[in-house]
Amino acid sequence: MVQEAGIRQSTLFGSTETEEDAQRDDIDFKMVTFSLGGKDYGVDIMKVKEIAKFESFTFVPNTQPFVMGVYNLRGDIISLIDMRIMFNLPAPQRSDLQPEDGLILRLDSGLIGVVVDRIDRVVGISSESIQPPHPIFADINLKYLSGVVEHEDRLYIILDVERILGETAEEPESVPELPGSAEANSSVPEARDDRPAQTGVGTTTTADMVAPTLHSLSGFTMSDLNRHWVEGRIEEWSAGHGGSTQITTQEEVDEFLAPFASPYTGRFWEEDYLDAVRSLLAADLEGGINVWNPGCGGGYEAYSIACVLRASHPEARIKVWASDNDLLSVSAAPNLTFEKRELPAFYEPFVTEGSRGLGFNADIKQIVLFEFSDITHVNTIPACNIVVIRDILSFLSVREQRRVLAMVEESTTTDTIVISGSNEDLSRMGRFADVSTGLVRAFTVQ
Amino acid sequence: MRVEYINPFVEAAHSVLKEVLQVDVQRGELYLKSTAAPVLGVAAIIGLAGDVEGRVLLDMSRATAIQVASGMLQSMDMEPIDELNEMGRATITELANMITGQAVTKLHNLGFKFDLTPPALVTGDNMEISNANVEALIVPMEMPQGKMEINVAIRERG
Amino acid sequence: MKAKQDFPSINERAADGLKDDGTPFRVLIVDDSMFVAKQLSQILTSEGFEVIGTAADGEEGVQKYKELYPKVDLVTMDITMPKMDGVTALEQIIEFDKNARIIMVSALGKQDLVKKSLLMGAKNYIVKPLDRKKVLERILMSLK
Repeated sequence: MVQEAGIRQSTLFGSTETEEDAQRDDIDFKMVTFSLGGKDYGVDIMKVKEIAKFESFTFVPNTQPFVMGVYNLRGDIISLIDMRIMFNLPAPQRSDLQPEDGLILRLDSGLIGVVVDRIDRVVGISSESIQPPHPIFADINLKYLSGVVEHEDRLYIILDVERILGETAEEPESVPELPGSAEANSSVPEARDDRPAQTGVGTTTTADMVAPTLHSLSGFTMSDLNRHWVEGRIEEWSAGHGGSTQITTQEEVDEFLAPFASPYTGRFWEEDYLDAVRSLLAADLEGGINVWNPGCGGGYEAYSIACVLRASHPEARIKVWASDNDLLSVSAAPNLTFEKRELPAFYEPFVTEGSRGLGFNADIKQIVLFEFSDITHVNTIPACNIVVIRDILSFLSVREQRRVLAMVEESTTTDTIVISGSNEDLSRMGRFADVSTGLVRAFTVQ
Repeated sequence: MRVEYINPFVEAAHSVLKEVLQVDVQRGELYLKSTAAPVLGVAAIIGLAGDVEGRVLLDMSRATAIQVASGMLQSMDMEPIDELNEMGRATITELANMITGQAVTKLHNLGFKFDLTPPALVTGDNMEISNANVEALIVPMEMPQGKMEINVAIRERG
Repeated sequence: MKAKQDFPSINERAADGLKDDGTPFRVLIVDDSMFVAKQLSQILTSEGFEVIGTAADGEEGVQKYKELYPKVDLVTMDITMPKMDGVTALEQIIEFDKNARIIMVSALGKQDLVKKSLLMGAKNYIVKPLDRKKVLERILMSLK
């Protein structure tokens, strides 16, 4: 039974939870939210370089009380401000051993660190919903506030950090020579295996900060399915970009996501991939073999699985139900033609010469059925032995990911093989056991 | 919906409308809807059976139905109508028959066996929303008389 | 909008709907669509035919044929109709009068039934959408 995903995914990428939500709300402003003296605040994400946990900093005397000191950000020395002291808000007793939640801001005047009570999450809203600030909402002087906004029953006060901190963010020239005491503190917090918390208050990682941008510029939705890959990719990215994890442009997003794609995307599977697929197939798949292949695009995946099945089961009745919501791609699939040089040798027994080039023979053509269909409209899928669903789930909303996987769980048997994208981990999304082999990421349903 | 079925319906709709109305007919971009229910006010429905199960319907507003029916009647030297009377309903129903008939013939030539059931016309007051959760392909057609959506919801049998 | 073929040709010719003795051929129209019935009626009367009856389903069609017998020169028979379809009605009328002249009217997509009808004794068939020229041609052929 498909359950309505009533779990409010209070994932740390806020309201970009579903594509519908994103479209409906017309999100054009994202803010990192946090609490300060018991109230909720937000800062324009464009001003936030990164979220940090300040574990050790160097106290600098003779500065204003709200300047806690300086902090070593991978070699850069930046000032560290305690916002609570700055605005005379109640601050919890600080223990020297406890790391503090905070943000590294990139202001016009430079980098600056701020400490807050607790970082909450990244929230996306429509800038139209921002109201002018009213003194009743804030403990802070109105001139430091950009506005207030309500989101999911919480009121956020948006801080104008340029105004508040602008002058304070200069390189502190008067800082005395630092002893090498400031511990090299990685300000990319450890990648965490966060299960989305139900209460909406959790720990934000760099991955959570990058996720909304990935989503809005490419449709990629980070979730338990692919978080691990994102975190690894961030480390890789950071190393290759001088420590920066700022990803804001389309080009950066495209470059970031480039290694995500599974092998042979948009092409025929070749021997190494085929071998692994073959080894996964049960030897006794006689009778009917049913394959579900959503997101088939131009059809290469569907034809690949059809041919590898036909090769190992010459007599079986095989049916591949392939679909895609890209009309242009999928409508060309039934009559796909290609040149000999594009075709890996494995497929030669299955093709014939046609008027427009090489195409698949009648047997293969009747095996694969291509449909123009949107996976989010599908309520039931045929009982299948194999599901090929590569790099599709990662571009659906979290709710849709769970819904589709629930459908898969229901329409399969314990023998069913689910081939996912190489960087998609179904075991974190339901009752799936990892049976991956070689290049192929695959799971069975428990 | 199976990819091969799309063109026959698109072409039949365009060709028949152009022929009976003698006007310029523009086809809008095709899209998929999660529910197949008609939404514009008047729907002429024809059931499909054979290799598939499902139905085709012509979805349009009452005003467009009156305009289209009048256009068809006038091109046959008959009197236009100013309300959706029995003749108007019969005309729209016949239009659905013609479009679906032509599509089915094309499909037959492609090797697909489709059967048609007699048409029905439903309007806002007696609109039944059955099969609400079936995916539908929408082919929007724009004419001087208004907009019509060809709404096709069919599933492979077996 | 009148099409060119709707105007009589410049050279006066005998209306197609008249027999050699000048009296009109009498036609029974059997069709469940008011629109098609009207359309056919218009095409026919404009050429001098006389429409002596209409029926909205096969059962009524058979009944009317028997009532009007032997005055019906031609029947136009729609294939898809409620209560009794055109093929069954055809069968019954021919059983009643083996010389009955019946022409089938069908939307595209009913090829098999059209074939069946012809084998069972229908004289010809017309396909919708109705083209005036074709309609008259086929009807006249059926009347030979």
